[in-house]
Amino acid sequence: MTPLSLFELNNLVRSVLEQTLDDDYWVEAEIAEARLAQNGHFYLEFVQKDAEGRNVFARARAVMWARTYNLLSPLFERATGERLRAGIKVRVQVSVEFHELYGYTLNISDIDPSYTMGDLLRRRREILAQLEADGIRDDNRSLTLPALLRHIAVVSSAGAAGYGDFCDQLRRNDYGLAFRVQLFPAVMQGQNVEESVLAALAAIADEADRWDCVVIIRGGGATTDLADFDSYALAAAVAQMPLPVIVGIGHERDETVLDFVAHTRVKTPTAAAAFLIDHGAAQLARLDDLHDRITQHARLRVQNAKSRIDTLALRLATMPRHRLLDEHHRMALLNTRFTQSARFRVQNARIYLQHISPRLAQAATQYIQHAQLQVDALAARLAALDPVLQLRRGYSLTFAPDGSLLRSIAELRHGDRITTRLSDGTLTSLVTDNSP
Amino acid sequence: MTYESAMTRLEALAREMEAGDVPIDRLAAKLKEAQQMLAFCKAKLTRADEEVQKLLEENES
Repeated sequence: MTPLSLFELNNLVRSVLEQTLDDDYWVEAEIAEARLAQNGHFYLEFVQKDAEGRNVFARARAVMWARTYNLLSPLFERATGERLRAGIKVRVQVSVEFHELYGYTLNISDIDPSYTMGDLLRRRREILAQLEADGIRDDNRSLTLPALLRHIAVVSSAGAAGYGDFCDQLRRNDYGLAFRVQLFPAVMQGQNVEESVLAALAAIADEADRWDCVVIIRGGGATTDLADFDSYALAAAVAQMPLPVIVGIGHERDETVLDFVAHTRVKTPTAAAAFLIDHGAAQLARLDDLHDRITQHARLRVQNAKSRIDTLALRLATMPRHRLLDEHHRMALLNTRFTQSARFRVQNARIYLQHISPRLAQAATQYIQHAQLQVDALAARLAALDPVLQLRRGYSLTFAPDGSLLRSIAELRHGDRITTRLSDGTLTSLVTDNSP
Repeated sequence: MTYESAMTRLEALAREMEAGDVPIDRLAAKLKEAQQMLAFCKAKLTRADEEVQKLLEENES
């Protein structure tokens, strides 16, 4: 058999491939390398690794011509939040081409973003499951956000618009809130994300007592490369940070595994700043509320005390007057009662008198008549007792020397001079004998 | 004193006031304490504290 030239052999391979293969195939592979050439064509290297992801056991070059790339890559990025770059898995429609000079190449004509999305999702789920199994998934989320968020450690790239927006927003807050921000610079895009962010987090954790929280924000408005953050090491570091971590690296539709482990997730750097400002404003509102509660109740307390004093004063002032009035009233009442009763009694007496006077007159007359009779009887009896009459009947009265009426001989002694009264006069005798 | 401890004290003061437990004699003292805590917390949140810090640093240097 005549040896073939290399070109002839390659040409044979080419014609066999062209004859035996279909026009195109859907193939799933991982991008190992990706490079946009100056001419606008996009060159890739596809690989397939074993289950452990270590050993490559299939490899192929691929190309996306500039026209296709310009059409597909924006669609892909919008759908997945990912750039076509090394490390992600894709499902692409390719035609197999063999060129005598350039060899075997896959010419990409279409791409299915849903496969990549699914793959990213699966990776994220695996990381989260691992964090769960390690028991650290909710560590950061269960930290209590300090009431005072003032010293902010920021992980971001220095020159990025996002970091500038974040700082501007904090500075221009309407509440006069003060923030002290320090940047811990890190690469936020590309292969070095993991290593770089890990280093920044470690530096912050070393001086954790200086900071109130950590904010991880991405550079600019690009919505790509999120998968760089879907790393177990990063997620574990965030979960185990001793400070609450606020992440603002996602965008409207997509998210990273960090969104699930960080204390607080927001969409953008400005949203992260707004979160901090809202927190501070809430604290100010809480202080105002406390101020109101305390002063209002103090005022109320003083008011109550004052009104009690006023009431007491009023009672004290009005009490004597009341009492006086009462006394007045009582006196008046008593007076009325008194005069009334006096009048009543006088009237009663008068009636009684009117009633009694005829009887009294009658009784008096009777009494006088009766007395007259008594007097007459007594006069008669008295007349009978008159000593003059007795004397006229022959009785006499003898008086002792001292003038007393003699009733017994024992009162006399021999030689006493006695006087005897008879009806017509007196005689004097000398006692010579006295015998019973 | 930390912001948190000042806040805790303020909450306690507010509760005390609301319960009406504070004797009139102590009212002024409690109010003064509350005002101090409020001022402290506000300064921590706002730039007032930063200005104080700056003054202190200037004095030191």
